[in-house]
Amino acid sequence: MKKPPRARSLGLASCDICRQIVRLPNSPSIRLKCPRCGGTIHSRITHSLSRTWALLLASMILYVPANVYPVMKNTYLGAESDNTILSGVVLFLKEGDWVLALVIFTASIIVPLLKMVSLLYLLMNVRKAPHERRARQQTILYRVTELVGRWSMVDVFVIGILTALVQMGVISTVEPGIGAMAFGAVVVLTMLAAISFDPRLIWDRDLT
Amino acid sequence: MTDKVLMACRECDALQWAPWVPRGQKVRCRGCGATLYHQPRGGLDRPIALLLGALFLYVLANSFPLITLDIGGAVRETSLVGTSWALYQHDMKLLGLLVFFTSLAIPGMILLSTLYVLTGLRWQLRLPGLRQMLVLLSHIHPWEMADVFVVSILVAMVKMSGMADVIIDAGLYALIGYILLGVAASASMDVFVLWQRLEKMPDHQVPAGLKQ
Repeated sequence: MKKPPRARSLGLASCDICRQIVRLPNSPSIRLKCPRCGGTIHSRITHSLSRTWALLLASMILYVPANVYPVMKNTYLGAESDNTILSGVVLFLKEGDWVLALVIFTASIIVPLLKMVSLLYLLMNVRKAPHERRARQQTILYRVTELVGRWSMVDVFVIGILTALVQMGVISTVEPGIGAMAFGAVVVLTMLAAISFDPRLIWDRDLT
Repeated sequence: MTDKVLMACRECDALQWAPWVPRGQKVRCRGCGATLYHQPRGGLDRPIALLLGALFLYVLANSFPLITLDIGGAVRETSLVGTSWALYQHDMKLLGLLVFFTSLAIPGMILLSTLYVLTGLRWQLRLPGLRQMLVLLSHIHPWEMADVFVVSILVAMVKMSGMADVIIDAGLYALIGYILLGVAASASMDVFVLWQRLEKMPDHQVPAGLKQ
């Protein structure tokens, strides 16, 4: 079957919101509104790559304090303990709670790391011309990255729930730590980075 | 309705005439194989019914505590709003707001605005702001995290089970039910099909000066 032409090569663009096909103006500086939904038409997300790079780098920098500083301070019968993200996982492992250790490990360590690595990989390879099969794989990688991103919020929510519940005066209290703030920022920034990446750029190369 | 629609693939930008398929079928891109759109089996009635159920459970989930903690007689409970409020009070204002929006406000906004749009389309009512609602929906969707929140409650429950008695309250059951109905509702909708329907509505207002 003959391959369909690219919308962009015909001077057309699809609205990001409602997918209406619109003819692009001759000058790229004209801001075009979608006739159906009123959204701004971008043939490609404006400055997609530099935006994604900036957000990704910011999230990588914040990933350091998110892991170094405690996300939670726990007081139990007068004894204080600081918990980092990793120490939370280790604690579950020590208690033999494999399933839960795996859930936390996946949500708060694997998912953010995987997101950053796969966005980095996409950003570094988007200008190279690979096979069509590779382009398809990269598109799937992007969709998975975009889809799983929200699950790293698990840790932030757990900290919130524990802070709300464990306020038992002298017996036990939980306070959120500064690491939680950084981790929350990492989640938001990686999500924004994934949203700024335009997967159509993967297909804009001369595929062999 | 028309039997063909001009579409460009979201993933690879391949331009093609997509056939307007009967209910229960999906159309794939001829360039890369990604789904272009799917025609939901239950029309508009199914998502409306599911979302009404979800709305009822969402109200219940916000009216009752989710879980109660009992450490040797010292009892404390929390709700959805209580969780973000706790963070807000402990000098984590931004984090509290993030939790408030992702776990409570945005899920509620999505629920209400989707119902509004579906009502307008189903009964062909020219409700004000239908178009803007549909635009809003596609922007805020990634930030809805009620399902992530439920998993977090389960994690927190196991975490505390060693040192205290954890009691599951009515709110948590309602929240789980709300999420299941919400997932079923979004599986029975396709935003592109909603836009097509909106366009075909009699007297649909096209913004002036933009018609080609």
